Amino acid sequence: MSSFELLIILPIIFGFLGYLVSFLRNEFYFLGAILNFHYAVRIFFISRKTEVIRKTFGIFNFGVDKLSGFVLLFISLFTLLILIYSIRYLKYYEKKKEYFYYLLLIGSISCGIVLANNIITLMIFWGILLSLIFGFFQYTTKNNSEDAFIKSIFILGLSDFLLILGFALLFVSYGNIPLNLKISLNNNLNILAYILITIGCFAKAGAIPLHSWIPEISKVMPASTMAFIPASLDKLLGIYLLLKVSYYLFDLNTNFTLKNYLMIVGSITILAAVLMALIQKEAMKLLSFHAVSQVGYMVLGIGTGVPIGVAGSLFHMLNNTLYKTSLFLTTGQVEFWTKETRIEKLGGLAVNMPITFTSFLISALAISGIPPLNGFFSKRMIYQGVIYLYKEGNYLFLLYLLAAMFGSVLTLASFLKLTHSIFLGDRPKEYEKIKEVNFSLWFPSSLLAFLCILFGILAIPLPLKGLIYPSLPFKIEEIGFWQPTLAFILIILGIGIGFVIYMWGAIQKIEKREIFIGGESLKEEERHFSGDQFYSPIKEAPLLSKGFEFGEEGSFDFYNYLKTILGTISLLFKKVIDFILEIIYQTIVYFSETFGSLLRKFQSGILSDYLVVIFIGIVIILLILIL
Amino acid sequence: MIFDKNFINQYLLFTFALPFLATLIYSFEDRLIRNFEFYIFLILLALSSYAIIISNNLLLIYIFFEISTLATWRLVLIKRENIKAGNYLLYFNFAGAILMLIGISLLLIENGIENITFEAFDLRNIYHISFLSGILLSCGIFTKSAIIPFYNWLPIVYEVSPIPIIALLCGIAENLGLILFYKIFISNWLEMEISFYHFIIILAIFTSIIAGGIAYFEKELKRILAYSTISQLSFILFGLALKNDIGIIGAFILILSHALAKPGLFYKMEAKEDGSVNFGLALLSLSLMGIPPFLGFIGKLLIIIGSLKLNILLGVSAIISSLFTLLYSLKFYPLLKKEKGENIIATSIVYIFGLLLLILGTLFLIYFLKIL
Repeated sequence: MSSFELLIILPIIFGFLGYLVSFLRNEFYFLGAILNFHYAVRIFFISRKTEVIRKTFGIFNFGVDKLSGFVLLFISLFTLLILIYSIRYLKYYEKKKEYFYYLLLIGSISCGIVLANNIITLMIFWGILLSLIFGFFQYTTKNNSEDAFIKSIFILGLSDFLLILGFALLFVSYGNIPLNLKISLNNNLNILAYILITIGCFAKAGAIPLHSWIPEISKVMPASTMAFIPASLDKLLGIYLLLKVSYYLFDLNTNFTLKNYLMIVGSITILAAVLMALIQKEAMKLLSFHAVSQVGYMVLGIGTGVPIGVAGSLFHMLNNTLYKTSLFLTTGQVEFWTKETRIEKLGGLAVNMPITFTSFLISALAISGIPPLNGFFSKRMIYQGVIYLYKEGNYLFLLYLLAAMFGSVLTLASFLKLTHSIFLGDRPKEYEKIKEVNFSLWFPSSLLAFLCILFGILAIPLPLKGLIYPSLPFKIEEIGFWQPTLAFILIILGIGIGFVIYMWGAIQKIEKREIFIGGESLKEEERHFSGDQFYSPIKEAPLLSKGFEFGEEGSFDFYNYLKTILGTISLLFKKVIDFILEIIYQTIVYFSETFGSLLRKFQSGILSDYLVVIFIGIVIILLILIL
Repeated sequence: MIFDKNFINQYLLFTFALPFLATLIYSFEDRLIRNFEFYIFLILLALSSYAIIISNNLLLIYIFFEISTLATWRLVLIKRENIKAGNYLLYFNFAGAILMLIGISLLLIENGIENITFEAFDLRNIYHISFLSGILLSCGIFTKSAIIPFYNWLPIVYEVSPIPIIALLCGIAENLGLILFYKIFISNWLEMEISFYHFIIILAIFTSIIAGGIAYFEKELKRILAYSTISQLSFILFGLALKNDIGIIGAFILILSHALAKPGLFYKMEAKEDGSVNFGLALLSLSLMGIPPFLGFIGKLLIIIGSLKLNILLGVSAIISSLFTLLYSLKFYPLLKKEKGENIIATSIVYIFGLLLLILGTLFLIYFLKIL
């Protein structure tokens, strides 16, 4: 067996061993994830040198190129990190053995998706992932909420069926083709197949209008699940497939309209989701709306078709998985002690949990696009790609650019709110004794936050030249001037000067007085100002207020519309077709029964009755014979 | 390989053996149905369906078809208060059989057979079927396999019958119509108008979508599963009527998948609460939804590919039908999860059938998709 099969099979075997053997459970699970990571690293280094393709089991065809090697590495890294995190986080969870087994299975099957080298293999592994998510979500939902489970499986299943239809269309016209043919998007059939496949990608990654399952499951899932499925794995897979389909299987640059289709979806996703995130009062839900919003940047970048934009989108996918996973994990660490994710109840935890706070802050700054962190760099590359559209004569670029930049500003605003409400401000009394979490809990998020800094400061030598540029099929030219290291030094200098000024102010004596409002002094508990009221005036803004109202009620939720439409259709079928057929048969039954009972009356058992019947019969026969 | 007649027969015998054995073993535990009449008609049903599979003679097939109707009728009436449901079943199947008989006689006339001998009914002697006799023959098939407009008896029967009887109905009896369709219209070399197949294809996919929609509308568990059966069976008929290799293989795989999944789902209602039973239920539902690596997926995929080869709209309708399947599956899944019974054998049936779907699905994925 080569490392391809071992990568997929070993976690499954070790997971099963861990499922069976209770006293070595965590060890087996850990070993499975470690081995998966080991082979992923090996395959990554192989992929840097040559392109490998392997046939196994007839139609299954695995291969690795530079893009898939890079995505593979991060899939197994996230599986490992989240396994480490969950072992402590879900220590007292009753269904944890199933949970971990599914976690490993999902990790290994996702590797299978990335390694798939022809459309049938990809389609099958993509579907297997859905059935695993079906099991995984069942074991992770808190308080047995069926709605979120049904909604997420329905949206993922719907998009999977459409994706399967898209691949089947391709299969019928081209056969079981490998994924690097660069078919041009000129005829209608190819365009239809492309759109159907992108719908599958959008639902996995969470782009509007197929995003609504992510905020929905955020209410009922533990933080580790949120960090694993929507934040890291589905982003990697969805954007990987979108990229693979757009620039390897098809060639997106041959169709101008489809590029705009992607960019419009991306821009709407950025803006709408970030606006919804701004007014959320629940930390997990707020983060999940950001998980949706960031997908917009990636889709926008891929849609540009400009090398720098596509590279930026791939880089943004990597960055987003880093900081978004870290954000979910740190929120989970807060929840671990406080058992609370409503932001009005939290506050002032930075003193108690300094490591958690640091990781959270770094990730929050990175997602908001503050230089010199990684989020800034990838967003900048995407902006450059969008601006470059001007040269191609696509004047819609201004709208896309505005949406992207405005989205970035609003992201910063909503993270100010979240950081303030969880870690700063007044601390509620019951949280005074909270300590920092264990090593196994803070390690994954801190590592990810560290990577955020590293990939920001050393953006060009490390991630871009090492991972991103070789993975793409274009030659990428840098536009503009940006030196992350220099910027970092300047920013550190700026912060230093600011600190000195702050200390200058702090040395001077401050006069403290009682706070009073309207002539009455405030009590201790009334002084708590939680962040959930931030930006509430936006809710009352003339144009946006209706939009928010609709959004809160789920009017922008594609799922609700589809459910209503299908429900109406089914009602129609039931009330019209079923009902009419039923009436027809009831009539037939009625008439045959009446006729039967009429005949039964002749069978009275009295001889004279029978004689009458016989006589009538003879008369009829005679009449027929005569006539 | 797959179009070898012997192979098909063996495959179908194996398919029908599984629900038959499950019901047989289950009956030892269930005091309600454990009586002489049940075993007599159970064996009669099994033998008549086996006879339909292996015989090549239209007369024999018709006779055994009728015997199987009789057996299912008595099985439904095993609880004597089901008289209305039993009557419905008998009316419909009897009416269908009469139309079919007229079709057979027309067939003989069309093929110029004057001496009515046993050999005259041999399927190999029949080389020409007109549109009219084709439709008349199909009426029997439609009543047995519950296709529009002859499906109304099925929900009524399912609503009142005991679980093992329903399992027999959806696992064995209703597939007989599909097998008959294959024997008469597909496996033989025929001079048949292509418009007939188009008619059947459209009717089948129409039924599949409508029944799926009604299943989504229904509130009661048994009725949801009844309409789901109608939807699945007509989807199989759709695959058969495509008349290309891929579609037919997909249909046969779906017959096996449905003969395992649907009885398993019904047995879940009687199953004792156990750790394994919910796992089995998840496997069965996933197979019904058509998600890989389960058996139901392979059948559906092959049928969709087969239909796309004819027309893209057919593929889209097949996807719509699958969408409704997904919808009502997600509806009955939480309902079924709450159902609790007493029978330990039902638990193992759910578990074993679920695992079989997974294992066979994986094997088929590896070895059968080579035909693509």
